[in-house]
Amino acid sequence: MLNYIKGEGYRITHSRGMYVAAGIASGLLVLMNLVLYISNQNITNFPYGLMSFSLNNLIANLQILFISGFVVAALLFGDERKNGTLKNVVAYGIPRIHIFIGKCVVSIATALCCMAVILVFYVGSAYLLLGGPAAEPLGKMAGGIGAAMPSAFAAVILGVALLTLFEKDVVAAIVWFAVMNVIPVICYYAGFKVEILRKIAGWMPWNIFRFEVSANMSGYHCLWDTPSGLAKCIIAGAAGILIFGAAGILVSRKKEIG
Amino acid sequence: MTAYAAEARKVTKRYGSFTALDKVDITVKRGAVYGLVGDNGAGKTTFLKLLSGHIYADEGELTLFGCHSRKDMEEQRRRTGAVIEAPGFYPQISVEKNLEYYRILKGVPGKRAVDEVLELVGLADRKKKRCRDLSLGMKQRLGLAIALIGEPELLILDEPINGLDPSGIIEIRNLLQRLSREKNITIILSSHILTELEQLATVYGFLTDGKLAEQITAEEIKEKCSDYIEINVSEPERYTAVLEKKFHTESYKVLPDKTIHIVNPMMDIGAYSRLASENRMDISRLERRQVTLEEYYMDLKNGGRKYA
Repeated sequence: MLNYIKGEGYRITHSRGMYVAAGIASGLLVLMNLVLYISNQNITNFPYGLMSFSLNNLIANLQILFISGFVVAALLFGDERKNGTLKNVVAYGIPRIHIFIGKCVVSIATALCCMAVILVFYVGSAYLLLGGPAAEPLGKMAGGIGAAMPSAFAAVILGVALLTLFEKDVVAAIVWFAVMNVIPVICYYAGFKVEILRKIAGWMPWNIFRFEVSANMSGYHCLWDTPSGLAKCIIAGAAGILIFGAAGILVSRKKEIG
Repeated sequence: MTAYAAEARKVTKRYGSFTALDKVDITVKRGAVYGLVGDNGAGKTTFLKLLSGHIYADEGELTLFGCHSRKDMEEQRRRTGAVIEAPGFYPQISVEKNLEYYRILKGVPGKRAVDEVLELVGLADRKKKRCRDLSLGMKQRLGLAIALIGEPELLILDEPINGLDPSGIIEIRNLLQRLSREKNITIILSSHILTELEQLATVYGFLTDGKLAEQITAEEIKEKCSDYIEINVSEPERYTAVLEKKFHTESYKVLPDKTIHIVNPMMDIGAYSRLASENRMDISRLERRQVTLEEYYMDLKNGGRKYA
């Protein structure tokens, strides 16, 4: 498995794809901060030219990390059937389980590297261009990213499993979105009527980071600020890793390469 | 150490209600060049995919280097290289980087391995080129290079000369012959171009509709399908009478179009020509022929009576 991970590491670092993706994401975030900066310079009493406003976009929408994780996995492994590279890996005798775990490790590592680069540009440009206090939003953001990390890993693992299961990326993306977003949101609203669904929905990562977090100009209410809230974030993510990991192993063992 | 590189015992593979392989028994000895012959849909690629681990058999047992459990087979696949259907590579990176990726992935020590296979398949001067810019023939060579990384003991090749130009075909044929001869690599390959297969294979497996019609060595085919002289003369009845009298042979056939086939000719071709002219018969055609793989295959498909 180590050879597989090393091989993928070589390929990713020697391909342009991830550099371009990270560059585009960083560029867009810098552009956002630049727009806020220009607006702040040109509009009197512009209330959003603050670092907290910029960073709150991420703090209040940490589910973006889940989507980004899937996008990274799809960019890395979405074309392997079309390119016929997966069949070489299997023909080399690398066990399918090792391939699946290797893909998860590589996707997570790549996503973390991309995230680090993007955050440097995002936070850096916000710090340089925008005013207001930095410590509080930075602290909330760091805590939020930490709390969302297990769920983001689970999202990547689910993505890899679905990309293994389905021949077409778009099908994998639709199913991924259904599992990560549509079903939790349905359960959340159905939970107002059905008690058991309310309890289940409360443990779904998408709902945790969408409905139990608020970050705006008037203040923060973050689940991870309390030990029990942080534990809930981590437990929900860990459960996701286990469930999606087991499903992925099962799928990769059974799946034939057409 | 087992004498066989690969074996299939009563292997069956179904896709839904379609049986792609039906209780197939195939044995591939080490060092052999095994040619899989069959029409489209006969099960050639299915068999090669089973060997490469892309798909699983529904019934029967597959063995690689004497090992048949799933885990052991995966272990043994490290000793193989395969190109099934189209060659697999990353089109956006260079030839060299693709091979380096596979070298690391396969755990082959030393970067020289990449240069060696590039040299071997004739891609050394194109190593910096992006794979998507390669011609079809070059892509085929790259696929072969990927399969050859790490000096495999068994090569599994599905239509390896597809898309190659005539000189490419000759180069790949020579390469495969060299690999078999010098490195004693076992090769299992399928091809539609039987004339090419004929120049490479030492054993054939004929598949028809998912069943193994026959497994036979090239030598056995040669013995079964001995060469003959084909002759068209003005008076075939008189010629055969003279033939029996002068050359004491009765191993001939007169075909409905009056063509005479003299099987296992004892004399050189000139003697048969002289026999006609001495007896004042005109010859419109005279040639020495051997049954080709194509003829043998077509006969086998039609029931295999001719060369049985």
